Amino acid sequence: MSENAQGSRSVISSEVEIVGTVKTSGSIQVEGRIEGEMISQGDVLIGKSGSVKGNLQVNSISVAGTVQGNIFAKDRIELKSTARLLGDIKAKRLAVEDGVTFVGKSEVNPTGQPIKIDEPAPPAPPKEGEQPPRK
Amino acid sequence: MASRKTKVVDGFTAIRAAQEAARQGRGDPLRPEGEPQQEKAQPVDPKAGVRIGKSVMPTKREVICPECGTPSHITGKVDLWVCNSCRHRMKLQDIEIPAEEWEGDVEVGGTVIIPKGAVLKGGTITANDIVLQGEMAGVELKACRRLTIGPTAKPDWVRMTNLDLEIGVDVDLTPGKPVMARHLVLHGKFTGSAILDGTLFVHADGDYSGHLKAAGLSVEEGGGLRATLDVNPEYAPKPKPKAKAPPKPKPGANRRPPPSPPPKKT
Repeated sequence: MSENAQGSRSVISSEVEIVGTVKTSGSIQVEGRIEGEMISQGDVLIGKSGSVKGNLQVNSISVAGTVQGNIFAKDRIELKSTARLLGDIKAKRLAVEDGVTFVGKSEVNPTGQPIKIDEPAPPAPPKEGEQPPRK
Repeated sequence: MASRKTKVVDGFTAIRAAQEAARQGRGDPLRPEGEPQQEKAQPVDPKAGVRIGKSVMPTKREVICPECGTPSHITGKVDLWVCNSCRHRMKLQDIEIPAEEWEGDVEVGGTVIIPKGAVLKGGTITANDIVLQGEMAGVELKACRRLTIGPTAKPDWVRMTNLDLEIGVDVDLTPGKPVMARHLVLHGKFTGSAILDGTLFVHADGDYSGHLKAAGLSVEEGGGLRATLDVNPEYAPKPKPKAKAPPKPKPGANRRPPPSPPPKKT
């Protein structure tokens, strides 16, 4: 991990692999590989070569690489066209470029209405006198 | 000669006097003094040519055949269109249905607008693009390309066929069944399920809630997305391989074979 000239952003370069929780109060750019949770008070940039396997709690995030985990952003999530996200997201604002791969649940509600996602209805219980289906 | 003393001048005499005055260079007596004379048009120098500041390309549009689904690109103004694939003929005109109870069949390659207040009782409307703002009450809509749903529309999801679906501004739509389309463009609110071959475009004023399976997803900042998503570019239909052209005959293949040598006499 290194800091750039302004001292505002930490960079995990492409040859670095971290197993464990990454916590930072500033911004961070990930070009390498992280296996574990990431907590950042600032902005997170996951580059094309970057990948994170774990949940992320950030202020805002821009993903161009791969994320396997849930993203919770206080402000904004941006998914670039090269992004690959397998997990759920929750944010106030979202911007997605065409070409993204995204399998998961999204809760993005700019208007501030209560979030409610309809789940598929469970199978109805058997009526009285009706035998349950054999397994 | 009393008439001359009264100094009554008829129209013919006035015109003749004006022509005489103009000929003698005294100006036009019918025009009050001080009014500027019309400037003569300057002759155009033919060597200078005409400078074209901006050229405009003719509009190009996509027409999809309702019979075989083959897309064609048309440039400029065309009245009658013939499908290159199945030779189906269609007029390329735009039609607006009257805002009243209406029933009938329409097939055009342009746009059909169903305005607010129109109640379509029956028949079939086939068009390249359809803008629905009225009520569907028995009519069948077939949009070969794009179907746009406006805020006052009352769509019948069972009787609609479309390639792309656009939900207009201030529309709150809850179709009872999953929507199948190529692209879904959202300017309004959509609650339900969609299965798309193409992309879901959620604009800044759009909102999508429900389930989605699509090949692409594009969300403008400000758009809402509360959904279970399965978005993978691999879901996009793969382009059909082009039919192989018949092999070209080798040069000289059409030539007659050389005559066989005459049998030798024994």
